[in-house]
Amino acid sequence: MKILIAGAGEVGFHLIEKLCKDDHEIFVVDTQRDVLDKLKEDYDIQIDHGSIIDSKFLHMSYLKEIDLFMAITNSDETNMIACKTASEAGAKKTICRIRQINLNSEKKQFSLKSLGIDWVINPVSLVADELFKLVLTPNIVDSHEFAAGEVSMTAYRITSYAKILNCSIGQLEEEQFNGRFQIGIIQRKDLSIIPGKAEMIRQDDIVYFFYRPRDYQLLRKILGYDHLQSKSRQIFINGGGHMGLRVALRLEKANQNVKVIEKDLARSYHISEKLQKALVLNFDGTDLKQLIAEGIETADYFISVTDNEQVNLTACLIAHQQGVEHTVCLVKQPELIQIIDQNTPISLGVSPRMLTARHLVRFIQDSGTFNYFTLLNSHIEILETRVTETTACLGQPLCVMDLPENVRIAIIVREGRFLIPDGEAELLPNDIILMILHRLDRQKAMGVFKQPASEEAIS
Amino acid sequence: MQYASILKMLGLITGVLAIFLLIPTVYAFVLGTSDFNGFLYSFIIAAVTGALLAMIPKSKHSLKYRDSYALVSFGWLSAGLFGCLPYFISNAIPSFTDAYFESISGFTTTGASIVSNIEGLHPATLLWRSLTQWLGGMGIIVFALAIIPYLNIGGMGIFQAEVPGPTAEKLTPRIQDTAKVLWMVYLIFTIALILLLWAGGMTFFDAVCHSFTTMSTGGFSTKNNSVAGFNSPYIEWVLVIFMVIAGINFALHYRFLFKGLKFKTYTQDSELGFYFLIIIFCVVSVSTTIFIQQGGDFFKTIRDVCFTVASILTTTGFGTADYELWPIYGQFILMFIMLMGGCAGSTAGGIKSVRLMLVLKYMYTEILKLLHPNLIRTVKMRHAVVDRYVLANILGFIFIYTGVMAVSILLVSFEVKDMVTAIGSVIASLSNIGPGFGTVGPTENYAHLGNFTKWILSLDMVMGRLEILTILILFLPGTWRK
Repeated sequence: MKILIAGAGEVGFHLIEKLCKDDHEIFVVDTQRDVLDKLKEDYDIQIDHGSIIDSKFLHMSYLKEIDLFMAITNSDETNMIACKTASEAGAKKTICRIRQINLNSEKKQFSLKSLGIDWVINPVSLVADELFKLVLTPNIVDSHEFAAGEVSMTAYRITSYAKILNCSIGQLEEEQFNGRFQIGIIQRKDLSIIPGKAEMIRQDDIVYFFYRPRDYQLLRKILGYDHLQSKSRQIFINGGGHMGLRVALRLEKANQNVKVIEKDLARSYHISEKLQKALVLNFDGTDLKQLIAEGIETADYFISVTDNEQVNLTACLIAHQQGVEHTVCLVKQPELIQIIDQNTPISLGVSPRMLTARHLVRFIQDSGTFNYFTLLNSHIEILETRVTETTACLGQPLCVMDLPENVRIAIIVREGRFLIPDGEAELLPNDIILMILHRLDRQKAMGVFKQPASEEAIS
Repeated sequence: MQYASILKMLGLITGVLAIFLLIPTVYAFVLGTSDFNGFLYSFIIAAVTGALLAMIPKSKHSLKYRDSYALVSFGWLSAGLFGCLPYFISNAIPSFTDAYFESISGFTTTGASIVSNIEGLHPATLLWRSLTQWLGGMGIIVFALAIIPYLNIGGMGIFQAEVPGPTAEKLTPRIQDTAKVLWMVYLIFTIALILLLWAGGMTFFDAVCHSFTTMSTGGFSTKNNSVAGFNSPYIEWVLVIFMVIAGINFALHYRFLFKGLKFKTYTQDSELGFYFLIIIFCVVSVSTTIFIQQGGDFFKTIRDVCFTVASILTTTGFGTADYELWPIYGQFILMFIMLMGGCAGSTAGGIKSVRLMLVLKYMYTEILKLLHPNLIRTVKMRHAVVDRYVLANILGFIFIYTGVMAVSILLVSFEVKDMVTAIGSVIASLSNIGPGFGTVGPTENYAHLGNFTKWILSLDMVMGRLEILTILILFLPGTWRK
């Protein structure tokens, strides 16, 4: 795929690093020459110096061959204009990063299509979504949809009240699942397992469920989530910037008790105008006395999202010391996340750049014949493909197919039906299959399903 | 002060009044009743005065705020004057004080009357009484704004000075269109009510008169016993509904009628929610106390309580039951809602529920600040922030309202014999209700009060209608300085 990335900031770097491992042609445009030089040294990509909205780029010969155009510069306006010009010049799909302008309001003032934008990615709302999910559905680690929404995947961290704790997968499939759920992957500490029937589910495992979207409520029941639903939690948000406000607004709507701590008086007034029920408190979030006066020890969550990561770290450590169970810290540098998660008592680090880069990678993975989806911190991937009449292995039982050892075909979607295949199942044309595999096996697995016709075309 | 401009505009407003005087004049001529002469002379006097003043040459300067306030204040006082001429000249009300009181009580939609035998008045005079209330309900000045483009030069000034509520709301970019739209909505409801009342067994004449005085929340009736005189549950319920409608912000009615008939317009409004909450609370608690302390027929009591609460809260002042026979609790509730009044932007008087609601919210915020010393919180309404300046203004308004009330009670008590009457008459006048307590209760009238008291109450009525500050500005020396 030909990808043009406009803007080589932190997100751009992260993205390029991930994309270079796969088979893509990457073009990068940025205004800073030193950044570009560094990129050229490290990666095999084409670079161009200049502003993406400069007229010389409009006449760039390769623009009309671009499959995916990503405008991720620091300026919202530049990104929007760049998407407009790129799509007019012939780029097939465009992604626009927008931070300040609110395009997700209930009433769409204008259609994004008319601006030449196919997808919008907003780091602020990504973080807000992430934090919102963290509070309301505390043990959902990840979720995704496959096969055009026919199959949902949700990753849960197993807690002590889950009904499936200490059961083996074979037992569960017989007694509780009735063919509705498939456990594709289990992550245990740093290990990712593609489980067999004998595998036991233990506490703190992250279990990846595949199911039809309509069975979601049933899944929640099995996982023992029912009693969590109506509980209202006490949440402290340190920092009333864009992120803080967005998170507070969403949590407030979900009937949670929110207190927003903001140091700046004028900003405090501004956010108190936007919020309805949440309390806005004007003091420094690292001020221990004030935190105690506001009852920090009763808080269920302490989320620190100021612009300054040192302040966030300090505030979270103070909150932890005061007995807050869940503390979440916003950091800018993605590298800090691992340090926070592993070396500090803070529950979780969140980085907007990391989230943005991860989401952007998923956009790329979604747009070919083979769609693949990378798990977090793991080498396991989920590969989705459609079987056609020319696929080589048509009509063979799965067990005789020439697949690498650790590749599992988890789900077959056949005419809208959801099948969990066993070794005897055969593939028919137009089936959509989901495979779980190690990333090193991906090329091999793709080779098995590749259509002979297109193979010739490529060679 | 730009006297020339103000006088010219007063002339235009008087001209408008003269046109309205023509209606009862023609009616009296058709019926051949003896009050025809009174109306004819009044019409001539108003028309000539208006024409003479209107001939004053145009001023180049636009109106300043103080000019607007002075114009509105004098406009109302002079409307009272020209409005009382028919009563005075036709000898229907021989005393000038009484005639002025009756006229100003009409224009301010108070509905306090000094006429003992209402049914003894000629139909044209009755029509004029109702007409003054209808005009005063939506506002003489707003009406003049709607039809005379020349008046439309003062910006928001004149409009703001007459429309009740903490902040006047422009519904259209141009004030003249806003004024037109408001009168259009007012007219639609009035016509609907006329048809409903006519269908319910009233004569067409009674239906027109009562519709005029209901939609304006005025309360003049054509019967000595007010609405009780019709003895019809249908009429009472229809009036309850339309009184409540008249007590709602007309901006909401406008959006509902002209912007797609969506009930969301009403259900999303927080002031309206508060208003209905008060109505429900009053009806339930007052009828419960009546049942416990006095008993009585269930449906009759509920109907009377609903009618009285609607009539008092919207400051209409129609009567079906003598609430002075109710338990003291019920009477106090009525006294409180007399002060509260309807919604801002309605035709009702009183302090207005939006002010009360905002003050309550503000107090809650202040109490919350004691719990959380660093709390930053703004008072909001309809999801928008209420400016701190507006809140201060509201607190000031409530203070001045009670201040004016206290001073008026003191002045009135020179002549009035008992405390209840003194307090009751002042509240009923200042909030534009009509019937008060004591010797001015729902079954009595204001005829027996002294002349001085009547002038004080007349002034209170105008102050109440124009929300005090407009009139009070005239008493500031700074207003008159060059």
